Amino acid sequence: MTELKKAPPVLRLEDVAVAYKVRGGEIEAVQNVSFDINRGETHGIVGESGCGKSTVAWAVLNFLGANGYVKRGSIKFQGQELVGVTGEKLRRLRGDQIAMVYQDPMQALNPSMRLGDQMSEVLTVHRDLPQNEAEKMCIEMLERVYMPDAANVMKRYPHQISGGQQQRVVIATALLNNPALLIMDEPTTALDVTVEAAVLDLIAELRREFDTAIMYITHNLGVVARVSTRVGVMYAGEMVERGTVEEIYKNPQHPYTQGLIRCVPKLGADKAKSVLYPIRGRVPPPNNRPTGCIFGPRCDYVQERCRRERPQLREIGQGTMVRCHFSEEIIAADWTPSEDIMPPEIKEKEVGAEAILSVNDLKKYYEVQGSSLKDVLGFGEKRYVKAVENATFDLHKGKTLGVVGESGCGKSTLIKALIGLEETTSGEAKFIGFDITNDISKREQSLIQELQMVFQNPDSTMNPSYTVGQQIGRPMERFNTVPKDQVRDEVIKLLESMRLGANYYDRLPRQLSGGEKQRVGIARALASYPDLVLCDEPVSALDVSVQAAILNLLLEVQQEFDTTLIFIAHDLSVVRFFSDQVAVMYLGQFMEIGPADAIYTPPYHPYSEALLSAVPIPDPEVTQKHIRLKGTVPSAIDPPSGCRFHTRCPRRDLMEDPKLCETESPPWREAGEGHRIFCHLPLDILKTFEPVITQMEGA
Amino acid sequence: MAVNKMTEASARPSRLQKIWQSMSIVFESRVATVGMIMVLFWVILAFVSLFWTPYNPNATDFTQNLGPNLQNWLGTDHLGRDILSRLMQGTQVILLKTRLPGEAGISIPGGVAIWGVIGSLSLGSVLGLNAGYRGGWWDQIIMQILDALIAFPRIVLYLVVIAALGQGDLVVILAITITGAPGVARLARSLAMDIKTRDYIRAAETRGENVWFIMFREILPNARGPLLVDGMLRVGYAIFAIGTLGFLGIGLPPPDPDWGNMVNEARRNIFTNQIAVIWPALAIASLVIGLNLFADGLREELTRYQK
Repeated sequence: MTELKKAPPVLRLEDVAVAYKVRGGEIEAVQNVSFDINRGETHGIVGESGCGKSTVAWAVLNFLGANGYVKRGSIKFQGQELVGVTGEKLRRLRGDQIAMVYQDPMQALNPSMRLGDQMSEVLTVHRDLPQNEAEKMCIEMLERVYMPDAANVMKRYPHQISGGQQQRVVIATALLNNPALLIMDEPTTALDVTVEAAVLDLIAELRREFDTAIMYITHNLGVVARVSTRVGVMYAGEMVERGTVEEIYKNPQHPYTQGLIRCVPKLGADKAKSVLYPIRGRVPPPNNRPTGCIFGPRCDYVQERCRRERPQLREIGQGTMVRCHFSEEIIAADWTPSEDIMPPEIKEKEVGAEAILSVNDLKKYYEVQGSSLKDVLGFGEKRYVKAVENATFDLHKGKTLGVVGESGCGKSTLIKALIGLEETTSGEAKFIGFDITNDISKREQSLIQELQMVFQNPDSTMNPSYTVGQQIGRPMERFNTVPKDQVRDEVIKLLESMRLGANYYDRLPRQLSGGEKQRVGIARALASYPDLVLCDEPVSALDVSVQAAILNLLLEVQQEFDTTLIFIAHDLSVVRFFSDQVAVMYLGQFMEIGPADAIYTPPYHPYSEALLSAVPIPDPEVTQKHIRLKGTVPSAIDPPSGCRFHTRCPRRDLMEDPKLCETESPPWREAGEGHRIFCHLPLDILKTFEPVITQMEGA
Repeated sequence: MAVNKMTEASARPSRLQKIWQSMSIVFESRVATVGMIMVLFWVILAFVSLFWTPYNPNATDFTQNLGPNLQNWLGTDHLGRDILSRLMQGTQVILLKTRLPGEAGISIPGGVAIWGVIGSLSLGSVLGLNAGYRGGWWDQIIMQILDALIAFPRIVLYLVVIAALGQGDLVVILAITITGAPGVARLARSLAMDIKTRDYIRAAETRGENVWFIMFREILPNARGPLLVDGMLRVGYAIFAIGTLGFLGIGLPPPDPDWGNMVNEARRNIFTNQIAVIWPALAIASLVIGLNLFADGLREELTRYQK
């Protein structure tokens, strides 16, 4: 450690402020950020959206766009000042000594160039290598990032390889010139959990091997815990805490960090036994930050001094820096939630014998048009995307069914079919006794009213042209649930139960934050008092502190209105926390369904087991089994025969007759209490699987 | 109730404030400001001409083909009419009034160019929204027909419409509507195709809303901005089209002076009075350029990053 400290850090930021010029002035997106990164170190930067994480990264590369500039401070790269470097000198640095990996690999790669050409360009430009030598190095590098069939990949175009492989190519390209600093801006956010897990493994390994300094930006606390050595927590353009990963998670000093950790559900926690505590309020916009401590208005420990004086980042021992006046006096363990963020109490309710929704062997196929002449003329064999294959479940009133699975597994298609945006291909679906396999235009109004939906993206869930009140009132008018002259009162009542005041009635969507928009979206879905609400990833686009508040709100709503919910998410901890029943989907097939706690403990379906072991857990002291799936998700047009998971199943060698998985569709194994597993392996073998997650001793 | 009203007032700025706010966006952009001044110049001139022109625009009171002088600032035309008065009067039919056919000589407010653009905006929006939102066969059929219409040279279309229906303000409006609609429809279609992917459209669909409600209440208000900017550009094109028709002698009928026709008449006497042809040409050009600058600046300002 002492030896490392002598050498100058690869990157040192001192008191950096970045400003953007906008209409009518400028806003300081980032203020007083200081940190350094040493060789061979991964420095994580976490924070919610809009807190300036990416701006810091762009400032290092001087890539702030036409209206952004570094207003104060200095950025030193290997002792050399970067602020103000432009032109040829900057171009030499970028891609050579400082490389960057972006969030979406599909956008980082040029779709009209072969991957080999894109990669070798880095070498031919910066190092003047001849083409053939450059290509040879690229192939070597691709092999180092475990790209299967590397020589062949060089000849392909970006769309011909999967998302995880694209990100490997981007990482390999970034590493080609052996950069001293690698900036990774949410490199796994656009990827599925199982792919993300493999990429994170790769990043951790590269750090050991290449001795590169890595600046790792992410919003996901679990991801940081897995890859970084030190972490900086950013809030509203400032770094509020910095320290080693273990210290930050075990012993967070800043009230904001403490709050963040409290609002993430632990994997394995459920709503009956644990609660989420959101952070109250919202991140202040950059042009309207409070004087004094920037976190003051949302802090539980705020005092007079915090309002008056802005705290400085100060060292408090063990290498931890914190921007708080009173961090020594704050003891996280003694914290009690204040009134306004108290989560709802969960009462156990009687379960009616009659299922409100019962789905039996529901199928949804999409016809695809081939491109051969025969297909165009209509003589070709009809081909289908088998989006949903064997959906079978019962859902009781007041309960929640969580559906998990990676992208493209058919979870969204399932709820689109249930709500009637798509007609189902075959199978049965009965909702309060009515058939709902048909299109919504053929349904009775009274049925439509009982089945509503909450959407994923807060920015597009509300029509920007209408006020909050108009949008919540519309379903009431349409379904005539409320007399015309009482709509306003009724909307305000609903707004209040969403913990938004009556003053929100006349606001337009652009005046709301993401979380507030999502609340209005939920209010709109509830306006007709439906029996069943389908939630399509309602929290996945939100920041963690807001996410906790929305989840609590949904729980509260469910208690109050006795609503039944279907909850889709890709985050397994959220689903576990929120649901009574969980279904795991893979390539259109239900792999496992059962009570939530049964899914997360053995016996597992091999796919559920792999999913669970891939989830990044925001706790460095938890050990997970290491299972990584090989290959990519096959196409849903020609799904594998037999069990759809057999091509990637890590447990197939346990089969006495592995051929069976390829030829025959597996049976449903009943594990009791409605827990069913869709696998050829007998229950006795499935029961022998060890739990994926174990808490380390002493924690 | 009183409390309710109070909160309403504080949450919602007054109408005047709102107008001023949307106006102030214009002054952010120098281009838009210049454009607006040019347009305002002509609008004010048009209003003034309703009550006062230097001389009677149709009276042949002066010597023919005079150059600019103290009495007739812009000179006179081949019949000895004051050009300034005629130019001023000419703005009325373009911007302020449309003469209905019949002996009574009744006019409705709103000039030929304005109504023509309103016509093409309405027709184009209806067609474009249907094509964009419904997709499939609707899209195919509507867009094929409109593409065929675009394939015709514009002048030929004008000639066909006017030859079939005869001269008149309403006919010119119809001609502008038909030639402008395909362009508006394409824009409306692309906007609808974008907007229909948003979740709030899904929400409306899961409420079982009628397609027309979704198109006109959910999609159209969000497509309003780009459509209005396009409409403003189209007022410029319409003025140009009116000028062209006037030049060909099939534009707006007399007695009101028509800028295009003024160019044409002055052109015939270009060897005796060179200056006379400049004024109406300049009038058309400045109004069209003004509208273009205004619309361009506005569009740029609307799409710019906002605080």
